[in-house]
Amino acid sequence: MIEVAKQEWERLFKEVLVAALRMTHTKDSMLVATHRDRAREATQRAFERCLRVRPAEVRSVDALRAYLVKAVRSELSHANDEQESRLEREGAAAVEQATVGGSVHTSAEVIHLDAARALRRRNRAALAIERLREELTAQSDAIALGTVDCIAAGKTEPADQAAFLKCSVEEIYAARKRRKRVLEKILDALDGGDKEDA
Amino acid sequence: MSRRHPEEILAVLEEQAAEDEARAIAKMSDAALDDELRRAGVDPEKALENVPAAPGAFAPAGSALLPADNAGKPSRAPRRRVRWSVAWTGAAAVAACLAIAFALSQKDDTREDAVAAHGRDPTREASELRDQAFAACDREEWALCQIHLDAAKRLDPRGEESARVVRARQAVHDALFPDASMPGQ
Repeated sequence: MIEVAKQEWERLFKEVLVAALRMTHTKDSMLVATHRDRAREATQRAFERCLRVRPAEVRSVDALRAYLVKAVRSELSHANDEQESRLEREGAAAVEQATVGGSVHTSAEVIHLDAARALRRRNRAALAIERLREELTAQSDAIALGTVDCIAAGKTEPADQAAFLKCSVEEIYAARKRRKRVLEKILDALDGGDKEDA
Repeated sequence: MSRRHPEEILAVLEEQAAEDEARAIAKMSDAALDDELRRAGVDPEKALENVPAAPGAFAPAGSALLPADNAGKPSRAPRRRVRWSVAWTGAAAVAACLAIAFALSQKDDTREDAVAAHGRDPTREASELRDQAFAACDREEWALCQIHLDAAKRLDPRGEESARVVRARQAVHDALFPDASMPGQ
């Protein structure tokens, strides 16, 4: 793993913290402090994880930044999972405890809750992609729509997408920005105007 | 053409959005970053209080984020201190070895006379000494291990060729002179 100076490391910490704060941004004033704390904790854990894992493939500052941002996303999604399922798990634990003999098998409640959660995730994703396509078609944004089709077909690299869509890589990056804005609005609407479940 | 599931597509879209955002944040100035942190209710100075130590003391040459006068300079130099402590520990261990070996050699002279007088088998005694050496090695008492091995060698030089003795001597050497096998340090 690349070695960085303290000054550079602290700058990266601020950058990743800003990214985490943006990821957890909420319009609900009651939740602002909670989300800010989650962003700080996730950033702290991402940096600790980086030091613990010391990923060998990280050989540049850009790669390190990308790794840390991914780590923060992962930490936040774990935090979401934990927060979302705490009540459900508590309920499931109570049911298991009440079972005579303490069965080693997963209880029916837990299986149903897991299945329901997976179904909810699948439906949310399907709906989001469908609406994204509709919106980009309505805006006649062929390149942004093309990037979604490319990803569906397994082409994720901007250069590959540019070659396939017969445009420049810069146009692909510009289309990604437009696509991001549209997707954010759709996900906000799906999640009830909040990014809590994002 | 194999098609991805909506869940996978959404994951890629969100990942690319995060990458783009990170790139945009990287282009922000220090002041702009601090401003955004303050707007979010985070004190930039306090935020850095719990940052874990940086992975390494040196910045890569020509680093994009560092000012030119700081690039390549160490932000802290703990390694030199560690090397000195290792050197001092090694020197102390060697000195202890020599002192004890000298004391034992004085003892061995009288013991050799005793062996001759009592007719004890030197090979058997060497074997016992080597057992003690291996036990000392297991306890990581490297100096004692070396002393027993040396004493056994004087009684039974041919026993030195045993694989177990060779391994024990290597372990003692590695423990007492950790830097010796690493040229250039």
